[in-house]
Amino acid sequence: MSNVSKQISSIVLVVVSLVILVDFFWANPTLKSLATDLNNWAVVIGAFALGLGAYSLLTRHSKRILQKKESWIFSVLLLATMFLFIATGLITGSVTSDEYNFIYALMVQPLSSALYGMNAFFIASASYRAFKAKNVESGLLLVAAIFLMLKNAPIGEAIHPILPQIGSIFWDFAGATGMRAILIGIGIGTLAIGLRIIIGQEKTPLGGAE
Amino acid sequence: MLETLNLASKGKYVPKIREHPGVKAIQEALGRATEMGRPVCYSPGTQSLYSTKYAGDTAAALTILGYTAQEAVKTGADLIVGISQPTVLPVAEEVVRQAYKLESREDEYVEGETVRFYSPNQWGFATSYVGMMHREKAAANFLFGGHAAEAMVIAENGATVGAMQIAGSTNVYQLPFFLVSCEYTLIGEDEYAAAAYLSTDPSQKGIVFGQDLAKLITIGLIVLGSVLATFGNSAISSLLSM
Repeated sequence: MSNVSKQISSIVLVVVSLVILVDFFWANPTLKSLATDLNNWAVVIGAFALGLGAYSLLTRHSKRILQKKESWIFSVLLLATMFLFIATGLITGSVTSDEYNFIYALMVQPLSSALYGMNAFFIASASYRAFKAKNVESGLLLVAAIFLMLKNAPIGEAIHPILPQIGSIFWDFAGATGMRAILIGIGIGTLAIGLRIIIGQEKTPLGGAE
Repeated sequence: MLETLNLASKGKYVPKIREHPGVKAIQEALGRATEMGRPVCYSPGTQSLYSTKYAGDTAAALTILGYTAQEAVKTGADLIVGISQPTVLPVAEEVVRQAYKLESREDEYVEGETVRFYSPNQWGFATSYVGMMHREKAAANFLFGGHAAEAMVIAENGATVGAMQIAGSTNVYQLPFFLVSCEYTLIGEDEYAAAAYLSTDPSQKGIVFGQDLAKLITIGLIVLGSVLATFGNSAISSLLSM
C-alpha cells in the first residue's frame, strides 16, 4: 500500500470511528442516519470480502488439483461442495429455500455438532495433562478441580454434603473474583486499543503500516 | 491514557514494559521450528475486524502476526497463516507481505500458500486448520485473536502433533482451554499489551502505561465503593451507574 493510500485509509478510519462513537453518546438524527449507513457499508464490504475469500480458495485448490498434489482429491471435494451450495442458492434464488436448508441440515449441521461434541474428549485429554501435580501451582489446580468436580457431579453430595460446599467456595469466591478482575482488565484494554485506533496510532487494520 | 500517550510520543516519558514470557517464547518457538525443519502455524482468530466485541483482539493478533512473520523470515522458519474471516484475509496478506519485504525476502512469500483462507464457518475453519497442522507437522502453533469453542479442538490437536503452542485470548470462557493445552498463554489484556510491546512506536508503550493507571484508579474506586457501601453510602455505585 502506498503512503498516500495509507494516509487516506487512516483519515477514513479515524472519521468513521468518531462518527460511530459520537453517535453512541449523542442522540442526533443526522448522525444516527450516517452511522447506520456506515454500518450497512461495512456489511456490504464484508460480503465483497467473502467473494475475495472464495476466489482465494478457488485459485489455491484449482492449482492443487492441476498439479495433482498430495490429497488433491479433497480439493475436488471442497470445490464441488462449494459450487453445490452456490448453484443451489442461485437456482432457488434464496439461502432460506427448502433445498438449500436441506443440504445445510444434512451436511454442515451434523458435522458441526460432531466436532462440537468432540470437545468433551479433548477436555478430558487436556485435563489429564494439566492435572499432573508437577509443582505447587498445578497441585493447587488439581485440588480446586477435584472439589469443583465433586460440586457438579452427584457423587460429591453422596460422599459428604460438605464437599459440594467447598467446591462452591472455590467457584463463588476464587473463580468469580479472578474472572471479574480479568474482565475489568479486558474492558480497560479494549478502551485503550479502541483509542489507539481512533487517534490513528494503531496501524495494523490498515495492513501493518509501521 | 491520552496524556501518557502524548508524553511517550514526544519522548518525554517512554515507559519500559516488562517482557511477557509468552512473547519471549515466540522467538524460542521459531528457533525450534527452524531446527526441526518444520513450519509454524498462526491463527489470528475467527472474528472479523468489525466484530463489536473482538475487533480489538483481531487487531492485536495482526500486530503480533507482523512481528512473528518478520522473525520467522529472519530465522528461516516456514510460516503458514490460517484465515477464517474474509475481511481479515487482505489485511493479513498485507501484514505478512510487508514483513517479508522488510527483510528483503519478498520472493519467499507464496501467494495463497503463506496466508491461506479456510472458512468463515467456525468448525469449517477448525477442521481445515487442524488438518493443516497434521499434514504439515507443525513445530509451533500461535493462536491469537478471538477464538470461540473451536479453541479446544485446535489447541489439543496442536499438542497432539507436538507443536509448541502460544495463545492469547480475551474470551474468558476459552482461556481455561488455552491454559491447559498451550505452553504459554497471554491472559486477557496481555494480548493488547503484547501488541504494544512489539510495536516500535513509543506512543504504544505510553498508552499501556495509561491503561495501568486506569486500572489503579478502578481498583481504588472498587475499594472505596466497597468501604462506603459497607457504611450504607452508595455514592460510588450511583456515580458509576449514571
